[in-house]
Amino acid sequence: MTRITMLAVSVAMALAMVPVLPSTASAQRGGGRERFVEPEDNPRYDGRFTFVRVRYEMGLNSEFGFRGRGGGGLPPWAHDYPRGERNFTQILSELATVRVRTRESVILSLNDPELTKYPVAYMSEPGFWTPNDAEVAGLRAYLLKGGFIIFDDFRGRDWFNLEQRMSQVLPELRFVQIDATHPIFDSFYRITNPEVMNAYDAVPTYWAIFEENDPRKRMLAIANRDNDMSEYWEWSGNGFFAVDITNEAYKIGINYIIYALSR
Amino acid sequence: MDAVLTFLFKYSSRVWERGEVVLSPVAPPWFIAGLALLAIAVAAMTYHRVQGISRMHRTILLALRATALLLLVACLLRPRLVVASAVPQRNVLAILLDDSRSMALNDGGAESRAARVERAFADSAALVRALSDRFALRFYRFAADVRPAAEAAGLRSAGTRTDLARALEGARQELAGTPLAGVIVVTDGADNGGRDLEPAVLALRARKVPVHTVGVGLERFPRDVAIERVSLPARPLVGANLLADVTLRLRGVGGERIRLTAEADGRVVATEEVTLPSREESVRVRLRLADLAPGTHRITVRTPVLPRETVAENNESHGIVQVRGGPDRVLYLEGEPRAELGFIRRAIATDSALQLVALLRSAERKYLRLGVRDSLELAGGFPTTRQELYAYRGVILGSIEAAFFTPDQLRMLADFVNQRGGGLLALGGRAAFAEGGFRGTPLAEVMPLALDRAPREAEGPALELRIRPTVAGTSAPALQLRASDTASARVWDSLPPLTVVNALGSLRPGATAYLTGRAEGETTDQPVLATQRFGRGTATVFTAQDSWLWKMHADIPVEDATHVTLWRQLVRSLTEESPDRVELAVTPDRVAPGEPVEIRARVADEQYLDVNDAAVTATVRTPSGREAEVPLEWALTENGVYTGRFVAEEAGVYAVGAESRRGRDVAAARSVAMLADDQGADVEQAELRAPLLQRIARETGGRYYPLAEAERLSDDVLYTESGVTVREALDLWDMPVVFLVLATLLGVEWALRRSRGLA
Repeated sequence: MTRITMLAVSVAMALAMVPVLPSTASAQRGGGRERFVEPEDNPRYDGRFTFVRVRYEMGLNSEFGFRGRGGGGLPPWAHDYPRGERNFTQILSELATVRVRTRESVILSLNDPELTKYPVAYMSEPGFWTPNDAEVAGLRAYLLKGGFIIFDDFRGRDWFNLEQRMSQVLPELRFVQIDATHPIFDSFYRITNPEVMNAYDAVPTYWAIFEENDPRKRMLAIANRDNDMSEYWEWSGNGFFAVDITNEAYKIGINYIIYALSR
Repeated sequence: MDAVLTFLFKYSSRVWERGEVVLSPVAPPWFIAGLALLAIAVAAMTYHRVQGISRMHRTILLALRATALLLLVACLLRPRLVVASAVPQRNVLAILLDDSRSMALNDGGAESRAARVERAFADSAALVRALSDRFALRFYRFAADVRPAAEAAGLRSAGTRTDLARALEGARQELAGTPLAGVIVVTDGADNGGRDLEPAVLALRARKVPVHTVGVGLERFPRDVAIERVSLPARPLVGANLLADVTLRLRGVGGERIRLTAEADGRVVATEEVTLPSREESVRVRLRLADLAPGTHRITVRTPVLPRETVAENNESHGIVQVRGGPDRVLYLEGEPRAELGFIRRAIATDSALQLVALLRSAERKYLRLGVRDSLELAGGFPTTRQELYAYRGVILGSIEAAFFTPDQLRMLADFVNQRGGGLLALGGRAAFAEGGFRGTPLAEVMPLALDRAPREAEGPALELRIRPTVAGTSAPALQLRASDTASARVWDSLPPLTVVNALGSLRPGATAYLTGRAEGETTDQPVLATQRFGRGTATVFTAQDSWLWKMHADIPVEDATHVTLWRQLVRSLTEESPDRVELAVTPDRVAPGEPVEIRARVADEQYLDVNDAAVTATVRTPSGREAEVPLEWALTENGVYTGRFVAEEAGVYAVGAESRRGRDVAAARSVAMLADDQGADVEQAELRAPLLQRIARETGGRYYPLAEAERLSDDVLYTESGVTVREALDLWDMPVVFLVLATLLGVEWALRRSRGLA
């Protein structure tokens, strides 16, 4: 059995075991029009890997216009919550030796001191992100000390917002495009074609921020531009996406975690 | 007092000590017994008829008279003292003169100790003349070694060590075939040869050769600061926290301030202002030396001479530090991807002298190798042979269960510590210690904590501990987080808590805890960082699972280097004492030119098993660059140990290397350095150690004399049981004390009679 087949089988098995999806999560694929699920209380830190979703407030964005809560009342930072992280952490625990919390995840703002207890954070829809000074300072400290953030689920001109916001957070650093030769695509699975996904009908690209802008040094952040990996994770159980593409989303996500924890 | 006693008892106490009292009656015993009875009867009759005195006075007078008569009768028993004494001019007397540097000190008069000794033992001195009338004198000078000398004059006071044991042993061996009547050792007793004195003393005692000791110098300086000892790291890795522990001996200088300076090759690398305590006679000061480049450095620690200080020579001390260039390779096996791995890797990456090779088991039988030297390193996962594992100087075990290893790999890991002498560090984690099933494995014995508690639940909550250094931890170099002790203590107080997920057992006997943690509301501490020596190596545990919080935590400033500093130092401490296959040592590492040096190599094969059949050759490079080969011989008494000697003729720094050949297996040792110079040394403990000299004399039947009283030697050395001796019987009846007692008895009797009107 090839590793990919194993992965597909594992996905199916894992999803069959996931009992935690809230019953209120009646959702409709496309455009993030799920009903907002009130987040559970954050579990107490216990040292295990815990998925951290970054919560942020949105302000009036002159360039993008005001885009508040979607029709289902789901704020952009919560897109794919909680299915995305639940499914992903379940798969992560099945396939890798990462000791991971599968039934709980954490939601924190960037200036929450608790964030520093979790070395990997995830932000959805950074096109809507308009951080205040405290959040800028919080994220800056988090990343410079050794934290790692994944930006996902955004497309088109959202990128320019992310780029601008990150230039506030780390003015001395900039995004550098990386390709499949970067070690992050070989930290667990050997991923030769990360562009294969097409969540937004565009070819996704991967951008990273490195210490001293040197791609050989530590990676502080990665942005899945024109991609939505958690969308694949969220819907991996019901056939919205092809299994092989879903598998790629899981593989890249696992690679990110292993890379972030070991480098 | 001694002279009075000698007058009264006719012979000196020395003769009495060595002699044996015997009786040689001048008449048959029955006759003397009869006389004694007669004497009592005469006394009784004398006072029986006297009237006019009380019964008590009569009894006293009778007793006085009887005692006086009995004393006279006792003289007829002819008590004699039988004593062995040397036959004049038939015996040899060895005189050993201390020629070490401490003898150049001037601590009690206008002259140096050596000058006073030269004067007291000059050919023209009364003592030497008296001795040479009776003995053939053999002079020796000793310091690190013992050498014959023609006379006492011309002491150079140049030796860097005083090796009393070697001096006694050397003289005994040299005079083995001669009638040796005794040995006189003239020294200040500053024995720093590092040898056990007992065998040398016992050998002389067995031959009944008395050792007379003559002490030179003051037993206590009135005003002095001495750098008694400087303890330097033996062979630190470049960039290590270089701490020099300086012990100062203080005499009459309490409350004064001094400035202690350390220089490396003439460059100041540390200074410390010290206020000297008033009550203590010794104080320990820790100097933090600035970074030193790889190579050999000569370290000088000094303090300025205080006004009116008794001895200035002991205000300076020299030593050598050999800084290793590294890099030291350490294997980190982690069973699960976790932040601890990434943060430790980042911390160690800043240290060019360390190479952390990480093997991360990211899935079942799947590894991520980080920091490997080439594509072959650890290609098969965790090492399966000792040769492969022993190539690392340290091993870190992360959260990895015992079942991951084969039984042989577990045994190998225990042997890595026990046999190879490597440093093992086990980190806390959900698959570590008892939780990881290590109880009952060979590794359990190695750990400094007993795995005697029931494992905790695999997915249970973590226990938060506030962590602080213990007393031992406060002074441990690996836990120095800042440049000064107080700054370091402040950092420890400010660090946020970490968590543990393991049931921590008790500390093993012999293990040392350096960090302990206390949970909120608890009253007892749990070990967090503990170490124990196991065989040739050390095993350490760090029981917290998330030391990375000391970097990430919200309370820690971005630029704070605590986590990096701590891990660099912890990993360095793992490898610091990890030996190479051929380990070399020279003793002592500091000598005076012309003194001998012993080279000692410990040789092991690739599996670090001692090897006794290797051809081992040391190469000595002199300060002038000349190279000489010294073949080393197997020491016979100790497996894997080879020794040889050379004499350091030139002054300066020597480099000694060694190579071991055994078939096609060739292994070289890292070279070690040694200093030969004419300064310092042997003056660190320069006060006269009279108790030591008294002990040597007492154990061999000799006597101790201060130099000022050395003239008394001339009579005392005569009485010996060693050499060519004659036994003399000396009469005791004519001792002045006998007549004195007799006169006293009769005088008191007369006075009493007179007072009672009887005379």
